[in-house]
Amino acid sequence: MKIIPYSEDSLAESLQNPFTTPDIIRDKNHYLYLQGYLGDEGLKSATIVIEDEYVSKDFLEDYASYYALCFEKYPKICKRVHFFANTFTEEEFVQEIINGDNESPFWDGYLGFIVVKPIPVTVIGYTVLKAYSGTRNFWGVRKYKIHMFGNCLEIESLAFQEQDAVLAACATTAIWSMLNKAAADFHTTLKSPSEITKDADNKHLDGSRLFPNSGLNIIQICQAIINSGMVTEVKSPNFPFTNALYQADTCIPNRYLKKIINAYAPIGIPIILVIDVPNGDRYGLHAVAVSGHKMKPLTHIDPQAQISYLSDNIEKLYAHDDQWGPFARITFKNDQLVTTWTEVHPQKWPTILKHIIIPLYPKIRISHADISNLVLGFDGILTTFFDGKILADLVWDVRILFSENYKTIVRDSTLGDPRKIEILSSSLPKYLWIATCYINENPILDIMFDATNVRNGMICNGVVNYLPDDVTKPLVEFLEFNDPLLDLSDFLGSHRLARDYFEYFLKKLKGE
Amino acid sequence: MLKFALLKKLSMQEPKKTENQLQASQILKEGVTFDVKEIDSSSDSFYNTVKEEVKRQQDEMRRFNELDEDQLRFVVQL
Repeated sequence: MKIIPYSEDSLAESLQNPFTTPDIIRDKNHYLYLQGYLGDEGLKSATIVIEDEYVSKDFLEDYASYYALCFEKYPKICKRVHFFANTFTEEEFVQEIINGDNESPFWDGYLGFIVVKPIPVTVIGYTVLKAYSGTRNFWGVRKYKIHMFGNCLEIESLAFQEQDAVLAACATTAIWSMLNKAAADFHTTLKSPSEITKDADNKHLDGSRLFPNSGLNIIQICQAIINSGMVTEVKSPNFPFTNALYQADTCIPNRYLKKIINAYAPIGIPIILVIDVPNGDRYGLHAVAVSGHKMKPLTHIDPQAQISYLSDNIEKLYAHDDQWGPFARITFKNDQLVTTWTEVHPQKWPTILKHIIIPLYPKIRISHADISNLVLGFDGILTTFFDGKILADLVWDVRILFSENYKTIVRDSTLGDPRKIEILSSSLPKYLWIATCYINENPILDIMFDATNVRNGMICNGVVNYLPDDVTKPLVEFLEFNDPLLDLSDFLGSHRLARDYFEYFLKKLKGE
Repeated sequence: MLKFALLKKLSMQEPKKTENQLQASQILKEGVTFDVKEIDSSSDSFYNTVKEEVKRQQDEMRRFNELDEDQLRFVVQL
């Protein structure tokens, strides 16, 4: 064990190994990123504790499948580097270890650890560092129990590691980070990077070998996720634009990305973004795992014909980028992204979103796209009713929730008690799509959809009406009076059960 | 049974909240009244503008969910 004060030099020295000098460490993107993340602008690390011999199960799997068979004698034992925000001497640290009091204020300063692998250059192994605090929403994190010299500490994070480039490329590492959360919540298998790569396929599309790994395509990424016990939804780029190289290109616009992030975040599984990043004088495809976002407060929007979404207020995303570090910031500029790749590029070329891969629990069968079309229809009807009468535009928050979490929202809402009790005591599916309609900060309606149902059915299974009676009554009269015109077939497009949706909505507003 | 227990718990709370707490004044412009009448469905009406906008956005949503098979084969390798 070694205890040293935190500095940029001591960070480089603590990350070295027999195959990688501190100078090589200083040239790495990760070192640059960690300086910011652990430094004064970030977690404010003050002390480093180095655990010289550490057995990392994650590395052992990869060691057994590849490094053990190399002629070079790579060790199988790693070292673990811990970071603290507090300063202390070795005597004080030893005393805390012996006291064994996990609740001691001393441990509040614990920031997490990095496992340093005994291989050349790609040394950053299993890493668990605290997420930023503040107003950010880190939904893709979990609690990690960290055993340290007989003490058991707990921090909220999402595991990170850099790509090994032999056994895994960026996509594999993004899947690995995602599985770290999914495996904690569901009956999903957490695998090592080499196992994930093996799960993806047994060869490249051109027939060449998968190890050493030079990358996966979208189909292989999805196959690897499916083999871990989940299913995937994939969104493709369909928005044409001219890129920084003056070539015709396609991307997924930011507004749609924000809708998807907001919709699936409450389930808590990191979402994989496939992005085209500037790399020298060209672009290259890369994958990152989004685990959090930051949303600005609701602002007033004047009533308008185009639908407004709460997700429009998302201003930043946080993603594990295996070539930089954990919780790397992504911002939005026009219809492209600004990532660390953009920030370090001499011409600041933007990052382009090419695909969104949403890993899901198989029981979630109804997609955001299925619900969005219905919500657009309901917005059309309410917009027609409220024309010129409301203080602000109708703003929709469409997201999938665990039903127990939705009940908590209802319990704390402005609903009258009898209706609250009715919902709290009702039996609901495990997953619900909830479309909440706001006027300013006031929810006026929740439309509930059974996320485990079949898309061709009438999947609406509740309408929670927060409106006062003196607004509900004219709304019901308006719907009944204009029934043929407002029949949702006008608004719900091609849905074959449009009539059923309309009648159900009306019935629920009438309290039947 | 659960419903009964919840009702009992809530009956002990004061003041009782039997009605929704949201007030019309929090969401409606001052002096607004609802005069329920038939929608104007002429071609340049608000109703038709909204309907066209809904259809446009539904078409846009459909495009986002179409897969480009060629792009799925590009290798993510950085």
